[in-house]
Amino acid sequence: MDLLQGTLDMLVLRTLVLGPLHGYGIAKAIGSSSNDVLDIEFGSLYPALKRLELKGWIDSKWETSEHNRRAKYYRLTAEGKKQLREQHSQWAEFVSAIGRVMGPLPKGSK
Amino acid sequence: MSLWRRLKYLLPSYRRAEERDMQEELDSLKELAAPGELGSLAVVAENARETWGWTWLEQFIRDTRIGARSLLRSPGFTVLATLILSIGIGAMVTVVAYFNSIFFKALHIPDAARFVRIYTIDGLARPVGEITYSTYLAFQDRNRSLQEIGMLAPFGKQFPLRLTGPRTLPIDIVPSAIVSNGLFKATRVGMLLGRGIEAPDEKTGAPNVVVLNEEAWRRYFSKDRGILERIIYLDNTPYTIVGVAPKSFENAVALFPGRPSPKVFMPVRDNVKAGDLVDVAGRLADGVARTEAVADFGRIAAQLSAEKNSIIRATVERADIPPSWLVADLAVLVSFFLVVVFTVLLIACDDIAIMLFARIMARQREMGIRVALGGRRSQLVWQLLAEHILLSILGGAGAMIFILLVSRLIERVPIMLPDISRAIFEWRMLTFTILTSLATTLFLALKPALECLRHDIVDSLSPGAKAPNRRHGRVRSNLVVGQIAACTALLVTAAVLFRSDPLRYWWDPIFKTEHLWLSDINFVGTIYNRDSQFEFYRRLLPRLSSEPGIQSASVISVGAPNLVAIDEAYLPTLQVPVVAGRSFNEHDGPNSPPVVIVNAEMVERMILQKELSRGDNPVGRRIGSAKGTEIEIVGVVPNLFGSSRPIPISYRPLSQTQKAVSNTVTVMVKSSLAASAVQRIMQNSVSALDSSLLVYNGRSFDDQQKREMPPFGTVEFAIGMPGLFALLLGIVGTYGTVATLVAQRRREVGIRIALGAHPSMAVRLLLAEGFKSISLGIGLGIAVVVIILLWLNRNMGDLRVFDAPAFVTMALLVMATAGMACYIPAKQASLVDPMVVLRDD
Repeated sequence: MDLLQGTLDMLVLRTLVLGPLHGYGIAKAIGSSSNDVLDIEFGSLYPALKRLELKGWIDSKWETSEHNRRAKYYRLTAEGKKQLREQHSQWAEFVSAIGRVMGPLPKGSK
Repeated sequence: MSLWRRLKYLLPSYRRAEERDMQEELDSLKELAAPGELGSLAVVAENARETWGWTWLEQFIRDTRIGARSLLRSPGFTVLATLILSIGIGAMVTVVAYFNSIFFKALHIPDAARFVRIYTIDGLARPVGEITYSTYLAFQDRNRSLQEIGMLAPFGKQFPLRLTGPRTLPIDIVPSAIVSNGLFKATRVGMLLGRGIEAPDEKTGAPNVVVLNEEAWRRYFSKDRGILERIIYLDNTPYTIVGVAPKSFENAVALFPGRPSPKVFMPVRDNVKAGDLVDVAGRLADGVARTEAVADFGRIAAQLSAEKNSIIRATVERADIPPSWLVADLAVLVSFFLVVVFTVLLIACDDIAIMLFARIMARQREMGIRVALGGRRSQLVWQLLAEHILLSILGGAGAMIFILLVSRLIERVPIMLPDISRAIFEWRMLTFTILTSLATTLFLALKPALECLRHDIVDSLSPGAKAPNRRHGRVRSNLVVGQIAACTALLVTAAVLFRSDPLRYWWDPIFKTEHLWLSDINFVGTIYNRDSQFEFYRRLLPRLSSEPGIQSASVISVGAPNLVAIDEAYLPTLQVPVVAGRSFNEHDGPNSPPVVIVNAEMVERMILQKELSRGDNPVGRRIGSAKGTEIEIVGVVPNLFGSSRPIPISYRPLSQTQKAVSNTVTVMVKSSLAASAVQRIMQNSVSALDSSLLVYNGRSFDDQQKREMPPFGTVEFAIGMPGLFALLLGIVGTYGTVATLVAQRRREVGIRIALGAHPSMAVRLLLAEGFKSISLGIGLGIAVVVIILLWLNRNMGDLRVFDAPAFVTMALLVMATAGMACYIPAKQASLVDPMVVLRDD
């Protein structure tokens, strides 16, 4: 399923709330928490990480993974947390608004 | 934060570290993921790099590098194109800079639109632009329309400037101006240092004060901020420096740009006489429109006319634009001048157009290959444009150097012109240069670039595609014809104008001015009194005249331009005939009745002002002087200055006008020797009599006339300048374009030689074609010249339109230059090995 414009950044921020992850881990996490409905292309995810890092919303650090491999781990910054809170409430409002408009389809319509 | 990191990315070391980090990260992730799961990591990395937002810059740098390499590969083209751009753009910017500083000077003073100048108009409705001091005083007292009014006596003395004390060695001789306090108030400029002239300074007996201009402050005091209250000696008199006026003050108060700028401003006291000419300026009172001020001054002028029984008219003009009467006077010259400058620029554009056209067409094959290999067309256009941006940067830099060189050159010319060498470093001039350079190149390059790419790739790759098609060939040969025509037109016009000696307008040709030399002798700080000074003249003049090579010598004292004090030898030295009455003789001494010789224009003015009726003999008449004494007219001389704007001049005997020791006297000698020899004789003769006297400021009589005749000399000079640029451009451009065109036909020549033609045959063929364009161009050019000259002749008069030598010489010059430009490349083309040329296909 295609992502709505601008939602990728929000998904990344939300995923990182649970703890630091490397780039591949983030893609996996988004995939699994959406029951594999959202298939994030790494080609868009990676530039998004760089963009968020440049904005100062996330931070990165080289660490050793559970498989004893070195990888770069991204974590939320204080600024990122603030952004996420803002975007989260905006998103909730947006979903409920769309939900109210869409509602259940009336009977008989095809 | 984000911006800072983005900027940091521009640092190569930072970028390299980021790049390494990213590669490492992507490699580590590749190992974690399943093979192929992450897609193309190269694309991922490229997308990530775009995050920093600098990819366009990278692309641009890459394109520029490719452009630079391509320019380096053809150094001949690059050098020629840079040269043409430099001259073309440099010429235009120079001209615009002069034009700007002469006609549209920005005053840089507060509320400049309300700063006005007051001019008088003489009886024939000819504006004279100058006002006598007594008229100024009347204006000052009676006007109701100006809140401030001030004056500047522009023909101030040249003072030896001493810093350490009276009678020490002067460090320079500085032009001065007497300024009233109202002028400082009217301009409202902020002083660089200290204060301007104020009303108490003008009271008799007030301490002597002086205001320096910016240049004097810089040159003599290295911008020392502690010079206030310092004493300098002008004329051996101590003056206290009270302020430094900014450049904007000088700009605002100078009527004509051609006048030497005063370096010191002194307060007005009894140092200005009623008849002295002054420039008047003021500031409109609040709520008063300029037209109301015109009416106000018209009223005062009418009163004055009635009181003085003469005709005085006055007008008020804005000071930040040239006065309407001057514009009307110069309109013909200015429009001609613009046409000439435009033509020079056209030639430059034409040159560049031909060369770019030829070059881009020659690269059609290269472009074809690149498009065939998958190059994006838009990218190719960008690469071509990047190349031309580089070219325009080179051209812009060259133009700067050109402007600097020209302004240095112009400084050596004996005409006072505004200094533009600093003007080009003003951001406005700089922007103008860069934009012109960019616009010219891009405008000329874009069309051929697009055209080249619109071409069928298959066409351009097929063998033999190098030969340009017929239509393009025709366009280019038309460009060459146009170029040669414009060049011929400018050169012939310049030659005809040059040969009709521009001085003729101002100095009547019946008076021979060659072999006349002037030098000044400085008496300031010496022990001379009036009598011993005259005694000195009496010993110097025979001594000078007896030197071999010196025909005659005379002493003059140039005061105001319409009052010249002369000795009895002056008129004979100039060989001016006295048309009525007599010349001065040794009996016209200080104790004999005062006498004057007037010129024809003076008589004309007297008739206008009803002091004389037409047909009356002016000789024997008495005219009143400023001091109330009556002076008898003893002779009349013709107008020495040209017919279109004669100046009334009175000549008085030096012995009667000079009451005290004169600071500076001018000695005029007639000699056929060279300037340096005359200078040496002058210095030796003066030193032999008194070794303490300084002889300086040696110049020819013609130079002197030119200096005294701005701004008309300025304008004439400014017309000659584009002509010179055109000559340079014409030579460089014709050579460059024809050479490029001929070089393009190497293939054809190769085939002809391969088919058995003799190499000389090829040269003849190319030359014949070249000369067809050249003669067509010259013919067209001459037709244009005739039209220009007839028009100029109607508007300026007195041009020799059909000046055969000028026509023939210049046509031959163009023919020879263009011919050489055809011959050299043709010869080279004929030397090619046909095998080499044909193998290229």
